[in-house]
Amino acid sequence: MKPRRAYVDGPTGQIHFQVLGEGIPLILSHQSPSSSNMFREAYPLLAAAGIKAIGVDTPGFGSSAVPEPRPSVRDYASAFGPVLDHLGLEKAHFLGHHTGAANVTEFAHLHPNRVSSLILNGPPVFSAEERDGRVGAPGPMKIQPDGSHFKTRWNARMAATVGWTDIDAMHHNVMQTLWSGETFWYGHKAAFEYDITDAFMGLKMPTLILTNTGDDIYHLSCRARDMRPDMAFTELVGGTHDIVDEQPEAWVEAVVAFIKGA
Amino acid sequence: MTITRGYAGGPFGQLHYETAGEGMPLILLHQMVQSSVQFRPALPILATKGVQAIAVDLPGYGMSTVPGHAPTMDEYASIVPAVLDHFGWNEAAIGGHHTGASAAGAAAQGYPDAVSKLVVHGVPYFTPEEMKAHAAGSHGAKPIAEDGSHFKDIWNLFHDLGKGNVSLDVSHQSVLTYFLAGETEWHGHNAVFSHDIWAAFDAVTAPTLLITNTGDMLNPQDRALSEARPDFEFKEIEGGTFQYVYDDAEPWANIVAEFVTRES
Repeated sequence: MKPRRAYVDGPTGQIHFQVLGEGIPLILSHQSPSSSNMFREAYPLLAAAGIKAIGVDTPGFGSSAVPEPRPSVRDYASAFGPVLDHLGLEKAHFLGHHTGAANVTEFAHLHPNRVSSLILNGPPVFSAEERDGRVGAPGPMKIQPDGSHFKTRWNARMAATVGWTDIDAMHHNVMQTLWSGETFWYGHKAAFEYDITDAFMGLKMPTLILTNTGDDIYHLSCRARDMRPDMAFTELVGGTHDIVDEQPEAWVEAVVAFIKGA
Repeated sequence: MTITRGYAGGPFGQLHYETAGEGMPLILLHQMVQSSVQFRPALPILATKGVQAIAVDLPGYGMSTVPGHAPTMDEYASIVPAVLDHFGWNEAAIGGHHTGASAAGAAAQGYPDAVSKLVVHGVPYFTPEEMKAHAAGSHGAKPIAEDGSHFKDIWNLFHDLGKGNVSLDVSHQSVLTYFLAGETEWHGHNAVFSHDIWAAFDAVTAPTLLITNTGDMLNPQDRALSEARPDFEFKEIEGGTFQYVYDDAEPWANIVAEFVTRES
């Protein structure tokens, strides 16, 4: 089974999303740069477990319209309300991966009554110093006459994915990154400009911190656990930020176990 | 003028499209290996001329669902009534470029009541011998290389085709749509080279505009079709490349809009 895709109008323009399954609604928000296709291996497994999986393309990613001016995490979070409304859902469970974890945290902070539970897969709980150190990079991509911009992007993803094993996932990420246009760098920019601390510390709904020991920001999940020892914590072994491609069964099992227990 | 995207139900699953404005409906079908993106610069220009163009991703390309088998050209053409149903229209003008021109011709043949006018540009109107020769050469999908060189290989392919005269932007889009289509990127060309295009264009009854540009590899085939159907209005443009529709969107849209909106 393949997800059904659709558009809905949102404050930043058209929002593209994909849905598979009937049952408990779960909104999925992807890392950056990427798209809702990063969960492609998970959709059929979630659907089989009785979850209505709803992957949302963050504004400016996948096939969602590129917002202007350059958006913030709050702008990204504004995409979820219209999707819930379009599907006739008062509330849903929410899962976000990396930048997506910031997006769903901000949404839960603003609209706690629409969030049944929260799964933060690699919450970016950077310190102010860490955010300042990374907010400058990267910048706009230029299409090169010799096509070398593809190679540049490929090399950047390779460098950012130490321990990669799934070349198809690597290719898929580069494709999804470039498909949305030359503004794919907006995502990291917004993530590093966003101070998640107050929203994260104020969360009151059942929340799972989900991570994998090979994730490039595994240490941040551990930090998040220390900040909120009351939250549930699950770690998978190994993997990278392509964990959903690398270990779809284990990842879905952890997600479903939490949602059904929440 | 804002471009709006959407999905329509189709014979192979979901059909993705882009559209802009309001006016005379015109369904646009793209070349291989491309997508509705090929018409993105033309859509707003057409809209200002009173044409609502709907650029559709052919099944298996862009964001449209990948079919479970390699479609025939008649099967590609069957998306036309599906798109008409979605918009609640009985008929529309159909435009197509390269593979899309073959599909548009098949639609005019198969659904004469639904096709009010036909615009084709770069028609693969090969001889039967040429069709056989092309069909023998299946390209297949480019494997993913650990060093990322697969992108460069396809970039070079498109760059060579354009002899350096195509824009960087359209070459970039072409590489993306090629890899987005993935393992089934050969489907469209397969349909072209196994299609009875001669019978299809013999059967066309809709008023037809045949556009060609002398820098396009299918310029000789357009001339051959013009000889076979001297009743088609024939418009030959000097120069340009196989990316004329994208790189020269303004003159292209002006020619198309004038024909589509002309009182008959």
